[in-house]
Formats: sequence, C-alpha cells, structure tokens
Amino acid sequence: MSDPKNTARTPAPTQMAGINTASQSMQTPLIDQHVRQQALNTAHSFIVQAPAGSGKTELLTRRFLTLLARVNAPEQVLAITFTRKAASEMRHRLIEAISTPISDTDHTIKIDPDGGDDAPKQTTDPEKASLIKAIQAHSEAMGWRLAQYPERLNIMTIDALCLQCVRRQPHLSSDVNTNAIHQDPQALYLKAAHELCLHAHETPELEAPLSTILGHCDNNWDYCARLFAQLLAKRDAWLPHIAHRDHDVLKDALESALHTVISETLEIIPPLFSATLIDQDMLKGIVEL
Amino acid sequence: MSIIITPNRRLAITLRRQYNQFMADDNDTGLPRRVRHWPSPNIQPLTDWLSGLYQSLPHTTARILTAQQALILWQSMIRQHTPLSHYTSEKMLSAWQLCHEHQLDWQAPEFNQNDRTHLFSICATAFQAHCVKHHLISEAALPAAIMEHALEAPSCHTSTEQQCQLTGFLELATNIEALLNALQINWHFDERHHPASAHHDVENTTRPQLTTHFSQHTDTEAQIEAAAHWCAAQLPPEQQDERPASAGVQPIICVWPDIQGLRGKISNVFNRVLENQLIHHTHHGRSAIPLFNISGGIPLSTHPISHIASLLLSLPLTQRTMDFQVCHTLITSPLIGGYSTEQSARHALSYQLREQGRLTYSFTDILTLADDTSSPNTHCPIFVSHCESLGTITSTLPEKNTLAAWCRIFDSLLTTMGWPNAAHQVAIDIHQAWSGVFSELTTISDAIPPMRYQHALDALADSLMRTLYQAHAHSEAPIQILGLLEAVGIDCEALWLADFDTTHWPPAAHPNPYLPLALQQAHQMPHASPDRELRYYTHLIETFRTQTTHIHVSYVQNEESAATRCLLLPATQEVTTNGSTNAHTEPNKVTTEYFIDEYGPAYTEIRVRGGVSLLKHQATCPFQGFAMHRLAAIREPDAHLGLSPADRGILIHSILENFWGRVHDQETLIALTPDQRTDILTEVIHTEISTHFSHRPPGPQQKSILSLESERLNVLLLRYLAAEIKRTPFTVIARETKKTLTLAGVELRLKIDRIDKQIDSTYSLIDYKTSMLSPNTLYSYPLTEPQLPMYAISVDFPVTHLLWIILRSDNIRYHGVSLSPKTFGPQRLKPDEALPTQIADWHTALTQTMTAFKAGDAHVAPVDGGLPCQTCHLQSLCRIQEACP
Repeated sequence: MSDPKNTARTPAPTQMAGINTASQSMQTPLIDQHVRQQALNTAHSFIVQAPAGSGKTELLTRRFLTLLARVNAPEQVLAITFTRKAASEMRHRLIEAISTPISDTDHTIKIDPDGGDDAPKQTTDPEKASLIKAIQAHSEAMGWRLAQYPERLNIMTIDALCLQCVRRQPHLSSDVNTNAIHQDPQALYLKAAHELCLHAHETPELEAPLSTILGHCDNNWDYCARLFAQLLAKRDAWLPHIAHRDHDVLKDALESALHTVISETLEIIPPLFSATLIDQDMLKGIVEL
Repeated sequence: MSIIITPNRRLAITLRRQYNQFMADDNDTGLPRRVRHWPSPNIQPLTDWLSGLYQSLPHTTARILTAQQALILWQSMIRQHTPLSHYTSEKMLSAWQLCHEHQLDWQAPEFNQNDRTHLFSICATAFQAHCVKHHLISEAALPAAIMEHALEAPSCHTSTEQQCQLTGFLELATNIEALLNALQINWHFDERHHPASAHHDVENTTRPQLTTHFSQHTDTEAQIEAAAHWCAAQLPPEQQDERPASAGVQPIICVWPDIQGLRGKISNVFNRVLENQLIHHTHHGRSAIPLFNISGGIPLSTHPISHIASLLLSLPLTQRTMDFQVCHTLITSPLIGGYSTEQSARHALSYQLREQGRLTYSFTDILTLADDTSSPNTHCPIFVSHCESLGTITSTLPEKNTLAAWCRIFDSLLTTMGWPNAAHQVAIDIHQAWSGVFSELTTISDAIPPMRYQHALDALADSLMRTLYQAHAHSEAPIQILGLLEAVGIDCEALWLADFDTTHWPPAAHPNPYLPLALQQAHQMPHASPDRELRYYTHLIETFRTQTTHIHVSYVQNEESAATRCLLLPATQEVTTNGSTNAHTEPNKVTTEYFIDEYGPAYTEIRVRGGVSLLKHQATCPFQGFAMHRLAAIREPDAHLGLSPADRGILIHSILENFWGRVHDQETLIALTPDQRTDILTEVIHTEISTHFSHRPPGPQQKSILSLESERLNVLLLRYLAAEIKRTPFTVIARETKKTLTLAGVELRLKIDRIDKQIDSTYSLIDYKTSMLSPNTLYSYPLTEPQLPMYAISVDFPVTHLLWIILRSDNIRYHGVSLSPKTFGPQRLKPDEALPTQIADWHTALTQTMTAFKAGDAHVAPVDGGLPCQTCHLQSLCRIQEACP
C-alpha cells in the first residue's frame, strides 16, 4: 500500500503550535495543511512520518473516513496498527466521528454540553463535518447501522490480520493451531532452544558451532539457550538475511558490516583523547582484525 | 399428540421441571395441590426427537454418528486430500452441517469457485460415500433421511405428533421446516421467540415493566465480581421464603458469551462472593442445592486426572526419554498405582532426580534409581513394575493399527500403570467418561483406515477436548450462569448480560471458508454477513427482553479494549461503574476475624544445621529464615541444560582445595614452569570433575558439557594463579577447614575456604565466589552476607585481611576489607583501620539475628524494599503480594 515516493512529513508539535486538537486546527491554519490534504487523496498511497502528538492518527482517521464514503461496505476499508491500544484509539475516534450529530444548517459538529469528559470535544470543523455528514448519509442509504455494529469497521493489529488470513485459508496452514495462539511465546522459544542444545550432538554440522558458541558463553548452557530464545523472538529481523544464503557470501557480508561498525566507532575515539595517546597504526590494525 | 421441541437439552429439562412444579403447586397459595399425578409433558430437544424419529422408521439400519465421531471421520477424509489441522476439520464439519440445514448440494458448480470450496466438495462427497458404505449417518443428515422416507411411504411414517410447538428457537433451519411440513405436523413457534419479532422496532417497543441498567468495568475480573454481587442481591430474602428451595421462583440468569473461556474465573468469584449466602442457605437445610450453577463443563482433557492419563499415553512417543517436568509429575502422581504404599519413596526419588538438575531423563535412569535396593529411601518396586509392564507393551506396538485396537492398547496402558488409582467419585466419573470416549471411538473404527499411534492419540485427544465434564449439573439452582444461546427461552427473575459490548453483540461476521460466500449470504447462513448477524442479535436481545422484567447489561472498557456498550438494547437507568451493586450484599456480610501471629515456637536445641545460610536467610527476611530452617520449606532443585550454578561452585572449591594441597605456597607456585602449572591444574580438574559426577548417570551431552567445562576452568584458573603470583608471599595454612561458632547459645558449623599466612605474619581469611559481591554489604545491617563476618569471629587469631576471591571468566577480583591493604598486594581491598572493632560489631549483629531465629521470629520483613522477594520461592506462604500488592 505504501509508496515511498509519496512520503508526507509533518513537523513536530513545537513547530506547529496547536496542531494537536481539531478545535485549534481550525483557529490556527496549519503550515503543512496542503500536505495533510494531499494525504487524503485516496488515489495514491502515502507514508506519513511525524513525531508523536502531531496528528498522525487524526490524519489516518480522516483518510479512513474519506475511503468509507466511497465503498459499498465498510469491511472494504482496512486499517492496520501495531498495537491493540492504537487500534482501540482509532476505532474510538471513528465511532465518535460517525456518531456525532451534525447540524443540518451550517454543517458544524455539535458539542454535547452534558456529555462529561467522554463527550466529543471538537468545535466547528466544516471540512470534517461535511465528510461525516456524507458518510452518515452514505451509511444510512446502504443500511450499515455502524453505530449499532461498529465491528464492521476493519481496524486491527497486524497480528489479528495475519490470524484472519490464516483462518480464511486453514488448509494452507495446517501446522498452525489457530485456537492456541500464544500471546507470550517466550516459553516456546526457550523450549525450542533447549531442544536444539540437547540434540545438537546428533547433527555433526551443529555440534562444532554450538561448542564454539558455548565457549564464548562461559559454558553456560542455560545462558546460551536464553540467547537462542531471544534470537528466535527477533527472527523476522535476521532470518531473511541469512536463510538460503551461501556461507561465504554471508560471511563476507557480516564481516563487511562489522568492519563498518568498528571503523565508525574508531572514528569517534581520537577526538576524545590527546593526539599523542593515539596510535593510528594500532587503530587500523584493530579494523583489520 | 402434542410435542414441544427445544433447540437444546437444557431448555427441555427446565421446561419439564417448571411444568411439574406448576402442576405440583397451587398457584395462588404456593401450597401443594391435592392432585399428585399428572401426565408427563412431551418436551424434547430437537436432536433427540430427530434420532427417535429416525430409529423408529422401518428398514433403517444406519448407525447415527455423534458429533465427535463425525469429526473423526471427517478428519480421516481430509487427511487423504490435504494436511490436517483441527481448525480445518471443525470448519469442514460445520460446512457439512450448514449444507444440510440449508439443503445445498455440495456437488453443484458453485463449489468449484475456489480451491477451498472445491476441496470441501471432494471431502463431503467422500464422507457421504463412506457413510453409505459403512451404514452410518450423521446427525445433520437425519432430517433429509426421514423426509425421504416420509415422501416415499407417507402412510407409514411413524411420527405420532400432530401439534408441535417450537420453543426457544431464534430461527429454524430450512431442512427442519421442510421436514415438519413433509410430516404434515401442525407446527408453530412460541410467540415470544417468533423470528418475526425481530422486525419490531426495538427503540419504540413499549414494555413499561422492563427496567434496564448498565454498568461499565475496567476489566473482566471487576465485571465478574459485580455480576456475582448483583446476583447475590437478587436472591429472595430468606425471611420471605418459607417455601421449599426454588419453588415457584424463577432463576436469576447471568449470560456470558465466552463462558467456556471464563469458566474458572467465574466459578472462583461466585464461590467467594456467595460464600456468606451459602452459609445461610446451608443453615436453612438446603445444602443439597447450590446457589449457582455454571452450564457446560470443562473439556474432559483438561481435568487433572485426564492430564496424567494423557501424559502416560504420550510416553510411547517420547523415544524412551522424558522431559523433567513430565518425569516428576508421573513419579509423584497419586493417580499412578501403588502411590499410597510408595508415597515417601517416590517423592524422595523425584527429589534425587531433581538434584541432578537435568532437563531430560531416560527410562533407564529412572528405573536404575527406583530399582536400587541399596537405597531404601528411593526404592519403588511397584512403580518399577508398572514401568516395566508399560515398556513391554510399548516395545511391541505395531506401526499401524485400527482405532479400536489402539483404544484397547490405550486402555491396557492405563490399567498397567494403575490409573486412576482412586476410589472417590470424581475419579470414577472421569474413568467412566474415558471409557465412554474409547467406546465411541471403537464403534467407528471399521469406517476408518488403520492409523499410526500418533494419529490415534490425536483422535483421542480431539474427542477428550470435545467431551465436556461437569461433576454436578444443578439446573434447579437459583442462579444460572449460562452461555449466550442456552439462556434463550428460560423465563427469569432478572437477567445479567455480560460483555454487552460492540465486540460481542454482534461479533464481526466470519463466513465459513469452505462454502461459497455468495451462497452463504443468499441463504442467510450463520456468521455469513453483517446484515444477518445484526438481525440475529437484534432478535436475540428482543427475545431476552420478553423473558424478564429486569435486565442488567455490563461491559469492559479500558485502554486496550476497542469495545463500547452495545446500543441494540436501550438503557432506562444510569451508568454504574465497577460494581456499585456490592452494597446489596452488605446485610449478610460475615465479619472475618484476624489473628496476627508472627512468631513460631522458640528454638530450643543447642545446635542448628544450616550455618551461614541460616543467618543469611534470617537477615534477609525473618519469615524466610523461619520457613526454610524451621519448616524445611526448601525449594526443589531446578533443572538446568548444562551444569547448575551449585555444581560449578562445588567444582571450583574442590579443585582449588586439591590444587593448594599440592602447591602449598606462593613460592612453590612461582617455581613451577607454566607447563608444570598447567599440567597440575589439568590433572586436578580432571580428578575433581570425575569424582564429582561419578555417582550420577551420564545425561545427554554430558561429555560435551564436561569437556567444555574442563577447558573453561583451565583458562580461568590459570588467570587466577597469575593474579596470586602478584600477591605478597603467602602460605596456605588451611583449606576447607571446619569451625564451630556459638551465637546466642546455639552452635553453628561453618567451613572456611582458605586461610593464608603472609610473609609479614598477617592472616587472610578467603572465600571463593563465582558471583560479584561488594565490600559495602559488610557494613549494612542486617548482615545479608554473613559469611566473612562469621569467618572473622570464628578464628582465634587476629585477622588482617578478609576477602572474597571472585572467579568469573569476565572478572577475576579480590574484594574485601583489610586492616592494612598495602601489605596484601597490588589487589585493592577496602581499608578499615577499625577492623577489630568492626568484627566485634559483626558479632553483636549476628548474635541478634540468631536470637531472633531462636525466638521463632517469622514476621515478613524483606530487606531492600522487597528486592529479595523477586527470587524468593516462598511468596505463596508469606503472601506478601496480598499485604503489599
């Protein structure tokens, strides 16, 4: 969905006083209003990068609303978040927006004076009000009844999306027990690491490397297994780089990366010490090592 | 004749009971009627009615499959075409049932829409053919079979019912409607549940007598708590209730959409909250009927008695090795035969195995120890006999066998091990339930090809998972906690609808992946479309509104929950938050009295075991000292992949004792060439490792572990010896020397790792450590590191240097205190010019700690703001979490 060519950057809150609330956004024109507007163009994909509190969720909510006004069923729009909390926050905002009464005359959002802390806080925002009005009309015409059935809004974490995909193609993922998804798989990672250590001697290709690693781990097998478990938990980050790759190519790549890291670190060191204390040849030697 | 048909067994039982109660009571006075006899009403759940009807048909020979049997047959079909998963088989079985309910032909062209629907079509055709071949019929296919027979021979269909009332049905499957019409039965819905009522405008429906409250809670636990208090408050006051229990009184119903997942929590909270009422209830002579009943039950497979049986049956798959947890569970399980005779020996055996600290054990390891007659403490002949019999059976297992034969073998394995080894009712019930499952599997064995042990065990596990076990079902209890659809049709005093949020009411649509979506939506199948879900739940709520006059709805709202209150039911009362209903139970509250007693009996012996660790534990937390050294609440040894920290510590001590026994002083050490030094060290390491592990059976990877450890120790100790060379010349005058110390009149024993006398005639007391320690701990009270202070006060010569030698691969250090640090060597010890005075202070502090121990001081007071509690195993005893949550 994302298109790296379309990257909208919104300034930090300090640069854009008052951007955090919709009410202020109407009173103080935003310096990046055109970029925000651009990000609502549903014909294109965007990556929005901005600091916390600058209005990313609000922008995403508006984009969701914009898309909602154009589809036949609300399930056709999908929003993915990393955390449940973010999904919850976004769902709340959408439900709140869709349920907000809009004035028929001037298309402004009404504030419920008795609504307490949870009541919508928006003041007049004709653009958003107009969008909500359009969605409400569209929803009514299509019989969506979103206020009574907000589960129709497809807002979920990436894990939930994966689970949904697996459940729709169950026979393609026969080894996945969808009824027993572990929220905290650490124990399973550790068990897998234990199995590896216990049975490494049965596989000659594993025995020697494991001995080398244990030598570095002070022959502490428990610690070594914990390291393996940690690696398993982050396998999405490293597995694609090493799986099915030639050993020599991989070794060269790793050494090159290590060379870069050491070189960059050593560049930082000389300014911290007197020039007479630094032996440049020694530093080069370290890099070569 | 007339019949009332219900969608489930619970409603049929409830209606029968209510009818009988109505007939027994005079409605005006509540007193018993004079007429004592009346005809039993014909009230049946749909499945029973269909089964009865089918079995009464002439020339029907097919055996009706239960849901579990159908699932196993489906799994057999699926396995022939695609890798099997539990989810796949459940969804395919569900698709099969839906096809029958909606009279769909799975061989129709629509099923070629995609690979999933096509796969289902193939499997369904195979399943159907298989059923015909083996004279089987699934419950889903019964209506079609009966109807076919009725249409072929309308004069001889055996249904004697002319009038039929459908009660509790929110919708009627197409095939059932067609069957009722084909049988020419005059059928109608119970008015209140008629699907047409779903079209009513809920908002405008006027029911003045119905009140609706709603409450919002921060989490599920708070919601359950509030529901329990609310239910307690709805119970009729005892003084007004002179009639027999539940006579004429409708139940209070609490509905949970996810009752299976929350069963344990709900049961715990309701038991606790209703405890007071339960006492009162019992005093009124009604102990036979509990106050609440939770529907369903736990899956049979999750009962602890079943768990042991499952572990036993999985042993043949483990290649004669056992995970340490499985091993200890089986050895110490009272459900294995001979437990009462060998109880002590089995626990001792388990402890001895734990001391080896391994993650896996072979059968040989266990049997060698258990059969060792020279160790009567761990000798378990009955256990050994069971295991040998089990080994005999498992060694002759065929590669493939019929399911019936595997069931016989399962039964034989369990009998061999003496399972369940108990005569109480629960064990008998569970045993019978297992026999029932074996019987169910055996009856379809002919229809399934021979399979491997693993597949048979999978089939058994599936059946156990789907078989619900409930010790006692009390449908007459005044509070009924039910699942969503179980509550439909049961009139009640008051109704609590839990999790009444937008996530559950209604949930998102999730069509069956094996049926064409368009077909599902066209036929309005369950979960197929948002429209259907919304309509169904609207109807469900409307039905609930007709069953009572008081509804309370609750939901959870917090940061992680996206749900808000479901708007399908308008509230007439204000929001309450987090169980304001608690106040209702106050009148019956029984005051709990607390007796705080933080002292155990005084210690009266003149000697005590434990030495350093006793004072360390007592200083860390008096309760820890009391529990571990008076109650013997010792933590069982942990399992380790390689060497345990204890093994490593013991090895270091014994190697250095041996080494300094050969090389007596620094002068000799310096005189050795590097090769000589290495040779001596290598020899000592080899000797000590061999001695230390000589009494243990070798575990997996032991050779690698010990070889690597030998290399590690060689490198580490050579570095350590290099540091010793730099010290002021010294002679080792004592190694691992035992001392006796008397504190507060109690004798303790300790062992000083090493005493050196330096060339300047000063003495060093040395303790080897493999973990980091700071000298500052010697100056903070209470003394949680009492070892060096105890060394100092136990010797009869002036101490100049008091130190730990830290032996770690990343750090070899000398940490401690010294009266004159410069005379020790280049290693920096903390200077303390007042060391003699400090030693006297330590003596006083250690005496105080011992005095507290002697007095039985057991109050919970961990040092460092409770930091030691993070690794303490006694929290379930001291319950510090309850005191300081």
